[in-house]
Amino acid sequence: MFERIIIVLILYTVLLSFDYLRLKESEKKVTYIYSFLIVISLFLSTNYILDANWPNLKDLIHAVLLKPAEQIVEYMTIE
Amino acid sequence: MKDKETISDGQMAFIFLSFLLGSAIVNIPSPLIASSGNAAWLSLLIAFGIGLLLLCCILFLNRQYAGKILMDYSQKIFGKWGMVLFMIPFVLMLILMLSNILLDVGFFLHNTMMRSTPVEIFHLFMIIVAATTVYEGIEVIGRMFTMLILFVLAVFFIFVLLIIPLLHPEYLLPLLPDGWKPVFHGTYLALGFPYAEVILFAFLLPFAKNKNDGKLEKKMFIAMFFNGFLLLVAILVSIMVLGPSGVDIKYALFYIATLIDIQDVLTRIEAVVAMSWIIGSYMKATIVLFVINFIISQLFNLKDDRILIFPVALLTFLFSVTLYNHELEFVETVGTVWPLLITIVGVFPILIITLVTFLKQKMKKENQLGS
Repeated sequence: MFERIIIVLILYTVLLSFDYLRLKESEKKVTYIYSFLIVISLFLSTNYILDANWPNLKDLIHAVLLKPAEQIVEYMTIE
Repeated sequence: MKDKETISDGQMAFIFLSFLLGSAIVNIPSPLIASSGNAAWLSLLIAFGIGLLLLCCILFLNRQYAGKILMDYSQKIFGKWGMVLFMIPFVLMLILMLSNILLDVGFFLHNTMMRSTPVEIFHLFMIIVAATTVYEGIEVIGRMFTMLILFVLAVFFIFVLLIIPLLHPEYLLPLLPDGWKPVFHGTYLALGFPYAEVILFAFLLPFAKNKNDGKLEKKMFIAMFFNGFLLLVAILVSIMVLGPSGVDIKYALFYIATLIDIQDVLTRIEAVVAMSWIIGSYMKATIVLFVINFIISQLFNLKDDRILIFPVALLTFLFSVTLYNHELEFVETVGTVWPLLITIVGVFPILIITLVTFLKQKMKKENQLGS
């Protein structure tokens, strides 16, 4: 867990120090989109640090497509 | 399209070849042989045919809407909100795709050469290099990938030459002991990865200096056929060296590279071969990240189209380390769900846009003839 916190802290420090000045000078909508992406990344970072197995993109896709995909593959598989 | 950056038609074809060959050359043989057996090459050829059809579609659209990007003409056909509804799942799919490429490189290196290193390290380095390359723009990508793909191709051809003494053509038979169903299973896999991914070039083709003289189309087709030939060679070599035992080997070509031993002098070349495959995956990751950033910045009409590269890269890195609990889950998603996902989210909308454009053009011609 400690290593993961260090990795995430380094990543955010590098990212924000690189983009901070450009963000200050950019349009408002850029700040909103950027903040939105950062909020999602914070959720994922917490998930990563805590190894919490929270719902993610894969679960959404599996909820919709896993069963039909499995049926297609099963139909084409010979035991 | 605001972006004034352009690349030559040849560079576009090299980027296309890099994208299609990328990680496919190492990842395609084993799952195809596992699903289709000796007929894996047949599965590849069918998927290649479908990929060729998709390439025709995107080249047709590029010619019809010269200088315009996919968002512009999908907005014409689906309306503004229809276009947004098409793009949101498309971007999510690309983020999943990029995370899968990172995972793929991570698992490959972790399972074969660097077992004690955590996979996150590979993901992190790969995405940092890809993001900085995207930041430099498509012109740099075009120049750089032309050189890198030549290195990848040189390594592959040397590898094939060195492996010739180990080939057993008799392993190619029997061809269809269980009928055609396994062949279609292989086609399903090869269609999802890499041939349905051809549609990403609907976003990149407007960057080519296309003068409507047919040169771009010609070069793209050459790249496509060359890619098909290389993957075919990779599969045939895997079958002819490993035979029936190839089913159980995860990275068939990597394993074959470990068998090369010329008079105890030329040996252990698998590291060089692996290096060329990592370069291939890096090129693919770069192109996908470029397309994600391009779509988002065009959707929101951003003046600075590079400000979102690093947050998107951070997001995909975090997805890559949180998406799956186990490698098997990753294999299941790529082998089962991914081909269906890309067909529904990417291929169908492109086919609809092509069909509508084609019908509109036909009706226009008929009206002109009538009047």
